[in-house]
Amino acid sequence: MHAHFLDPYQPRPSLIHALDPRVKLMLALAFILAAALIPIGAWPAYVLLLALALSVVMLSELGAGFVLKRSALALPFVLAAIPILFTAKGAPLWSASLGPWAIAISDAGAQRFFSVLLKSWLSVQMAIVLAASTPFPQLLLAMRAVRIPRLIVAIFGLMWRYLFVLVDEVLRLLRARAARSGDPDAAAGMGWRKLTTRLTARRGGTLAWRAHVAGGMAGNLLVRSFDRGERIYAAMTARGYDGEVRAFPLPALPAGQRIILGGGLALLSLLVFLGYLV
Amino acid sequence: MNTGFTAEIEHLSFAYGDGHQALRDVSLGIRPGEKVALVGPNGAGKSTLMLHLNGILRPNSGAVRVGGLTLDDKTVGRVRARVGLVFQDPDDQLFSPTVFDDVAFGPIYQGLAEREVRARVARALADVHMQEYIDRVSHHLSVGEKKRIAIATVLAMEPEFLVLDEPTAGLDPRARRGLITLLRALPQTMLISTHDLRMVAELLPRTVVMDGGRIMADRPTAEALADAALLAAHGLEL
Repeated sequence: MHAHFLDPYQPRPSLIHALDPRVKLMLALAFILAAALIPIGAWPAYVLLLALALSVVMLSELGAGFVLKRSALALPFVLAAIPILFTAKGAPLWSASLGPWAIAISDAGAQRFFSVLLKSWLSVQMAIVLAASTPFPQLLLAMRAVRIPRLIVAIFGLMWRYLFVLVDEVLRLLRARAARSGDPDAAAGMGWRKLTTRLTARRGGTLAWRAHVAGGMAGNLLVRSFDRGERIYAAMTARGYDGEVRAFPLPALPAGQRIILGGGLALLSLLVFLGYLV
Repeated sequence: MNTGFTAEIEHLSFAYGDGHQALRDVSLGIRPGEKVALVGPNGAGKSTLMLHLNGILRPNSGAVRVGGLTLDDKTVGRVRARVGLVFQDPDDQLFSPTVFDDVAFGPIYQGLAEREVRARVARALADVHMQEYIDRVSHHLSVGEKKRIAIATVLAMEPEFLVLDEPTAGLDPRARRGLITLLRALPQTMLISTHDLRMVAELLPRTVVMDGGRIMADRPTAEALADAALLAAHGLEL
């Protein structure tokens, strides 16, 4: 039982996959920064940004459907932007009164809201392409290259490694519970016996009892993880770990990759500039 | 001080923080090239003893010497370079994102140059016949593969003394056979804690029986395994 489904990496023979992970990480971060910097309501610039994002998705060969489905994950976060609709000052587009309260959506509010929606949706798409086109170990190397502190990168690495071990453990626990969650024979069939069984022995137990079991499982998992942490630390110490994170120096970025990085950064700066012009 | 032993334990006693006395006056000497089995029921103190050989646990009383070095705060780093400790659960041993990172961990911490590290990783993976796994991700491996990689992670440190905790536990017969063949080919001095007495009979000429934190017997394997009373007294089965 292995939780491979958690790994976002999707191998494809695409140009995006072949890029140096450092270039990918820097360009993805630059894209998100550019999206954040383009002013509210600069719709022509947004269209160009959308075109850029779509080209990257197409080039990555991940399939637009795959990226769109995953990007829906970002939708709940948009809820946080909903108040903008009502709070921004401007000409009202729509209003309603709820008893003593009156609420109105203003044109400025709508423009801001849809700008934020589009920007965050595009940014999430870039993050999805980055994660799906770069194996995680390479992403860790890229994080080191952009000077994210080594200790934090090491923690990401351990987290990623043990996420799968932990989820495997959860799946085993759930399977063990499922294997012992049977129905009594008497619960099958019709009639009087079934009714009495239902009344006297509730199948699946009470909600409180089930919550108790789930709580026990969560506690069990915490204790197991804690013990595992101790053992991992012992294993690291046994091989000389002394609290300092060490790794090889990274190889230099090839000239071709530098050109792609420079070109990408220039394009994104141009987009931001255009955003201020329109 | 060189006593002619690869590892020497003298009157070692140890109690855990909760007061549980795990080791009581344990003395044991292992000579260069010896292959020793450490057997006994669960809770006998086998794993505790092994953790002492690497300085992860420190004795309450007594001493541990490895390769002529008495283990203390000053020598612990050099002792760890001499002793390759392989933990029972390979998921504890393999903590890096890729197989390469894991095998390179020990050599990097020894401060070796990148070229030497790469050479050692290649050699260690070749020793366990896993060269083609170098770029693989640890959680995609089978238990048998993980066990082999776990052994490679310590071989890369070029230790003189290998200490393995239950290497054949949880392996299917084919993976177990492969692992025994692998261990037979390794020249290092070895101490193997195990319940697998058939492996002991095949691989390890000397057997140390532990129970209740004490060493109960230390004999040639053939003799120990022929002693039905000894095996029965300590819950061992061939």
